[in-house]
Order: sequence, then C-alpha cells, then structure tokens
Amino acid sequence: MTFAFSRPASLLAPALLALGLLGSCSKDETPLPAVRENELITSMRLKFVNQATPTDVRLATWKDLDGQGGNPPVIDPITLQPNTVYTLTVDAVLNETSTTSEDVTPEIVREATNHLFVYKPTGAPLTVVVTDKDSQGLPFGLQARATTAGAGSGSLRVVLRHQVGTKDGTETPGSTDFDTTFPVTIR
Amino acid sequence: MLSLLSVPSLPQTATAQTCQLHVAGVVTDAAGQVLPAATVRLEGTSISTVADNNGHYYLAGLCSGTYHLVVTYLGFEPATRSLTLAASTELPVVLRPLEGTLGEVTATGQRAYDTPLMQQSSVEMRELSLTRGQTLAEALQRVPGLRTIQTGPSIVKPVIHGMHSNRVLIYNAGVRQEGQQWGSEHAPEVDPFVASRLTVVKGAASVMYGSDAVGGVILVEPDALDYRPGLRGRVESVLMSNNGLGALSATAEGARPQGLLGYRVQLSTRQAANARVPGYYLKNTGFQEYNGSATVGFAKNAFSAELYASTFNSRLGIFEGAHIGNTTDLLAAIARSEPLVKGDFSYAIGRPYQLIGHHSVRVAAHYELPRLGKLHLRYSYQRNNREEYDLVRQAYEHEYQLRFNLTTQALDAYLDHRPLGGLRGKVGVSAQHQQNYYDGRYLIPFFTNRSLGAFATERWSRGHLELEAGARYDARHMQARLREVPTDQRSPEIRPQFSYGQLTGTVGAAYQLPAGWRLNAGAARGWRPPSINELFSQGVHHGSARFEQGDRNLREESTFNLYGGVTKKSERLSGELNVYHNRLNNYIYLRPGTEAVLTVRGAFLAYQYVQVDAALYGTDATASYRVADWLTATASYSAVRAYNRETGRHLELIPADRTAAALRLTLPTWRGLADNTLSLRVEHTARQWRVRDDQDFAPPPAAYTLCHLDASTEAHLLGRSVALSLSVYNLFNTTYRDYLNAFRYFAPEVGRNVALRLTVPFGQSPAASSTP
Repeated sequence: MTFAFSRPASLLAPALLALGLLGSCSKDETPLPAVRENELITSMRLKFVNQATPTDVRLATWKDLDGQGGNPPVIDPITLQPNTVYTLTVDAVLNETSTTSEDVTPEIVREATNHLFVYKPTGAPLTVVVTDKDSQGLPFGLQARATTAGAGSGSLRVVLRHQVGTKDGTETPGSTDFDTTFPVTIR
Repeated sequence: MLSLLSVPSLPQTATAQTCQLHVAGVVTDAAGQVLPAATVRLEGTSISTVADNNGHYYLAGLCSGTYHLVVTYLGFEPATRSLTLAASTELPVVLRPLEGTLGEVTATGQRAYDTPLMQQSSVEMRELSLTRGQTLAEALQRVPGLRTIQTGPSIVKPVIHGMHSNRVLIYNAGVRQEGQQWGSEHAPEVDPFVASRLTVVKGAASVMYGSDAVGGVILVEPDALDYRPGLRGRVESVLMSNNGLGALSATAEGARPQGLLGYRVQLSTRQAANARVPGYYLKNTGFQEYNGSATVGFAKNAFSAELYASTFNSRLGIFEGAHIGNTTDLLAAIARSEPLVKGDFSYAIGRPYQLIGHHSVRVAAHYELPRLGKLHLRYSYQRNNREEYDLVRQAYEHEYQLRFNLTTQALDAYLDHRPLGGLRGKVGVSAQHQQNYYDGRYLIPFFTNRSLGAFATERWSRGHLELEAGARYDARHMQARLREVPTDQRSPEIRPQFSYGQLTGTVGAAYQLPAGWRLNAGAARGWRPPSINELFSQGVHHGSARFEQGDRNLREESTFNLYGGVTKKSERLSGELNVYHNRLNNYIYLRPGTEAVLTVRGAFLAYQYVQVDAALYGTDATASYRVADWLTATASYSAVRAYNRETGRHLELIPADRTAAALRLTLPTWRGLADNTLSLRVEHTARQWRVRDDQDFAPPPAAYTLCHLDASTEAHLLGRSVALSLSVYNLFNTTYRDYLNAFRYFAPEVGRNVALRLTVPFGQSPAASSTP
C-alpha cells in the first residue's frame, strides 16, 4: 500500500530510521521471571489415625501439580472402617510448582487466627468435629475428630477459608484458599 | 500581533445586568469560503469554542461588557475583534491568509484539521470545571453515547457506543496513551486536570488515529501554550462529601518577555477515603493520586517546538468485599444483600490495591513550510508501571504479586498541507515500538511490538457541502516470550511471533442546510490486533471467579462503521440525532463457559476468548430548547444494541438505555455574584434485560432514576474572578446497582455526594491590568 505523498522520502525516512534504532536497542535478554504463584497450593493430604488402633493410619492426597487448568487433579479415595473414631489431621499442604516442594502448613499454623478448615461430609455416615483452636479461642481445624457409623459411601469436602481480620468461627467470612472434595467409602 | 499580546479588559461584572447574551457568526476567508473548525475565544476568559464545519461559531451565556474576540486558524493570520456587548450580536469574521515572510507565530489555540468529519462531542472548559475531582470517564458521562464501565467506585473506564478498553483509544496531550488498557479493571492513567477540553470522536476512527480506534477516540487536550509574557495561573480545589475526597490542582504559566519561550507547570493531587453507599462504607475503596506535568515551548517565525513531560501516580484500593476465592464464594456473595465486611470512614488503603505509575516525555516540532503546509514531528516515550497487591496469605509488607512494565516509544510525522484546489488534509507516517515485562504471577507474557502506519486524509468543501476521504495502512509485528506451560518452571521458553496488518478507509460528508440544520453521514473501517490477554490469558482472573483461556490463533478484529445524523444549532433550539451501525468481523469476546475447571481452590467456570461476527448499533439524541432567557430545557436519550450475527443472540456487558432531562436556570447577578446558574438533571437508566441467564451469574440489576444538581457562580474578590460551584450527585441517596459495574454482585453504587469546587486565578491576570 503506497500513498501519493507530496514528499514521501522526507516523511518516511525519519520514521523508518527511528524504528530501526528503536528495534536495535531492544535486544533484551531479561530472563523470564521465576514461576511464582503466591499461595498456590498444589497438593494437600489428609491423615486419619484410628484412635483405638494407632497403627491404623490412612492417608489421602488431593494433587494438581500443573495448577489451574491443564491436567485434572489426582484425588485419592478415602476408605475408613465403620463405627470407628479417627483423629483427622491436615497432614501436609504443599506448593510443588517449583523444583523443591514447599510445605505451606507451618505458615497456615502461624496465621491460625486468619484461617479456618471446614469439613463437610456428604452421603457417607461420617461426622467430623474440629478439635483445635487458634490463639483467640476460635476453631482452627487443622485437627479434627472423624467418627464413622455404619457402612456407606459419599464424599468429604475440606475447605480452607482465609479470613484476615474477619474470622468469627463460621465459614462465611473471607475467601477460599482451597476447596477439595474426596470420595469416601466406609466398609 | 500587537492586539494578541495586548491585555484585554474583562467585562465589569458589577455593571453587568444580564448574562444571557451571545455572540455568533461565520468565519470565512476573503473569498467568502467558510473556514471550518477555527478556534474562537474570548481573550482573558475561559470561554472558547471551535467553529463548526460550516464555519459557524456560537458563544452563549455572556454578560454585557467589553470583550476581545480572538479567532485563529491554521495558515491564516489570527484576528482580534473588540466588541462591547449590550445585546446579542452577530459578528462575522474574515481571516487573511498568512503570506510569504511570516511574523511571529503564535501558538494560541491553533486548531488545525484535527478531528475527522465524524460524530463527535466536546466537553469545554466551562462544563469541564463542573467535573473537576472526578475521573476522566465520569467527566465524559454527559456526552451523548458515553457511559462508564466500573470495577467498584474508584476504577472507572469510558464506554463509547457500547465499546471500551482496547476498543477505545485515548490521546493524552497529543500522545496515544499506552497502558495495560486491555483490563476492564485498569483505569486510564490520565489526570483530567490537564485537560481544558475533552473531545470524543465516536465511531471507527482508525484512519486518523491508528489501530484500536474501533469504538472511538478520546482526546484529552490541554490549552495551547500561551506566549503572552508574565506569570499567571490558577488553583482549583475540590471537596466531596461522600468519600471525603480532596483534590487540588495548581497551574502556572507564562512566557519570557520576548515571547519566544513559553512554559507551563501543573501539579495536582486527589485523595479519597472509603466510598459510602446508602447505609455503610465500602471497605478499602480509597485512593491517592499525585500528578504533574510541565511544558516548555519555543516559537520563532515558522518554527515552533514543545517539550512536554508528565507523571501520573496512583494508589487505588479495591473493595475488599469483592475479594473472593471461587465460584462458590461468588454465589454466596451474590446471595447476600450486603457485604459481610463493612468499612468506616478511613483513608487507609490495604490489600488488595493497585499501584500505578505512568510517565511520559514528548518532544514535538512544527515547521511551516512555504507553500506546502505545516510539518509536524513528534517523538514520545511512555513508561507504564502497574503493580497489583493481592490479599493473599504470603503477602509480605511491600511485595507485589504481579507487576507489568510497559515501555512505548513512538514517532509520528505528518504534513498538514495547504489548501490544494479546495482540498485540505494530512499525510503522515507513524512508528511505534513497545516492550512489556512482568514479574510475579503470570498473567500475560513478555512481548515486543513493532508497528508502522501511513495515512492520508483529505477534506474538500464547496458551498454547503463538505466531503472527506482517507486511507491508512497499519502493520504490527509482535513477539512474545513465555514458558510453554506458563505455570511450570521447568517448561521450555518459547517465542511465538505474530504479524497483523490492515487497510482502513473512511468517507464522510456533511451538508449545511438553512436555519442551522446540518446533515452528516459516512462510513469508516476500523481494526485492532488481538490484545495480549486475548492471546495468552491462562488462569483465574483475580476477583472475577472465572478461569480465562486465551487463544493464540485469534485474528484481527475489524469493524465497518456506518453513521448518519442531523444537528441543529440556533439561538433557541439546538440538538442532534445520530444513528450508527457497526458491523464487526472477528469480534473478540470472552464467552462464558459451562464447563468447570477444577482447581485446588474449587471449581471455576472456564471462559474462552473467541471470535464471532457481531453487530452493534444504536442512537444518541439530544435536544436543548431555550424556553426563556433564563431557562433552558434539555432532553437526551441513548441506546445501543449488540448481537452475535452467527447466533442472533445479544452480547453481554452492553449499556442499558438511558434517558435524561435537565433544566438549566440562569439567575441574575446578586450581591456581586455573577454568572449564576442552577441546573437539575434527572437520569433514568433502564434495566438491561437483553441478557440470558447463562450469560451471567446473577440477573442484571433493576432500572434506576437519579437526580443531580449543579449550582455555579462567579464572585469578584480583590479584582479577581473566583469561580465557585456546588454539585450534588445522587441527590436522594438512591440505592441502585449498575449492570456495567463488575462489583454489582457485591455492593450497590455510591450514595449522595456533595462536591464543592473553588477556582482562584493568580498572577498577572488579564482582569487586573488595564488595556494599553
């Protein structure tokens, strides 16, 4: 596409020259910034310890290594015995995006007054009661007691609420840090 | 030239009986040929206008007194006419062309063939002064066809005929503003205090302004540098009741005694606390802004040059109640009638917030080439730095989660050629280089853009007819740098490249009929390359609870814009009726998904950037009638419809119809208070019902009606004319939500707001001196 300029050369020359100059000084090789997904959690693990038989330990992991999108998460099913009381702990909360996996749990514990773990069993004959409290005397939920009744199956949803300055012991305030659902079988 | 440099006397307000007079007339050359778009101003006042395309100018609301009317026009000698106004006057002005050896060139408001022959509106100083303290988009709210899209009370973006963000270009003091405009929560980094006029070109104006002018262009225009010797200026201050806003702007300008060197320095700040909706405050919605600009100009003979530098610095709180984790949180927030966390009256800004800096330097040189025209050269450098501080667990004191750094350099050269057989026009080229970096969380990649464009646009007029045609070609090459899987550190680096280009054209016509009627119509093509987020987004958009997925195969979006309208300008009746139709091909939009992406934070609906063929059409109508010398009634209506041409379904996020009516009273001078006006405006916004359930998380908000009040006066204190005004927005403290506010799910719009504005001139004010 050309135009009938009255003096095309006088107009185009400086523009092209400048573009060349601008281009030549842009040979940047600034490295790409390291992947830093703040508060990204890729994995979390639940640990059930049978209170009657402490050697009966059951682990279940929820894992989504490539973060949002991409491959779907890998979720372990939880299998529990009927009519049993378990000590339930959120065993590890990991950020495994970088080469070294980072355990976020100590940080959550440090900021216990801003966090609340919520357990929501559905379908299965399972009840979960939070047993620990933060320094303000409000429930925290890193530890809980899970009690099973008869056989059955359903799911357990575990939600970590982030409630900066608004924590009141209920799930309502704040935003969601993680929201995971495990299939549960009791037999 | 002497008359320009002389200092005119202001009308003596004490003796003024009435301020309802007007001066009108036609600006022509010696042969009687009309000169469209000549600048007409009253020396020593802020009153000015631009003659319409038939050379007709109209200055209303004048008090009786003595004025110096200055008319300037490119390629012609400026003319000054003194007049003593006792009754409304017709004053035709004939300009003589500049000949051979030029005298000193004054840059006083020379307004060349600057804007295309398209639908456009301006907000002049007088009206603009009643918007001081507001954002750019809010100041443009009263322009027919303009609306705003918001993210809470402090982030406001202009919408032209239903289009915004990367479909609307902003030219700030002559420079194409380059920020991260793709985000609807990225407000324009513009200090409205810089402007003495805002002009909106509505429609596809790509030929004159380049790519991205799909919906229209906003020109933020400072006053031309004033080469009259001495030091003068003004201080503007604003206080607002709703959010405790305080704004202050000081402008000082002057010139060296020889008048070769002129300068202007402007500083401004805006500070606001939490905004208040009826009943409570929205937590963390305050902001702080510190801006400044400086201009130095040199003008001698046929040459003039300007150096302009500006800085914009803003810290913007984002409503904490809109901070949500996932779709479940969003639905829970929508189900609540009020946010869980309410704020109090506080200027504190905590996370989440944005820290934005926009700095620019521009050098412009103009040279009047003998027999050829005026050559303009402009180089600009801009740096946009945007840091986002999220409310996250690992939020250390001063650490941002995301930072963008965009540097843009541009070079423009164009010739405003002398009339050639009745043709006036511009030919030019422009080049741009752009570099973007980010740090922190991945949202968009590194990229380098190189663009080149060339254009020619010509206007021909004879008698009552005016015709315009133009063409332009733009090309852009982009290289991005990112990891193949952006969230995986081990993923290899890739450098995809993209080339875009498009030929655009425009034709327009205007015909002047008797009695101030004027018809205009035209067609224009506009385009834009896909923006970086549309190509590369991959992740959850902060605060919107959706997973956004870009598409690297998107192509250029283009529009074919048809428009037509009729305007009427007369002493009693004035108004306009415009219609437009935009046929968009490859219209890029974010299509709401139905499938959920499962993440550790829970489920998010996947939204995908897709291209469809679309159509946007609508109308803007406004009519103003002077019922009596002291009373003017105005009514306006605007509507836009948008649909997907492939499915026939309506598009999302289109403004609802708005009807407004206003009464403006001009009150007599009372106890030294002159130029007294009182206006009441009622505005009804309909409900946007053209949205299906699957297009939104919640049904669009109900219709609402608001009342606004403006009262302004001018007082004489110590020989200076001090302007004072009081505005009340949302007079009845109505609770409402607006469909175009992204935070409509969480909280209503702000309640009643009373604004008090005071403008005090200082220095060697023309009014204080006597006429030599």
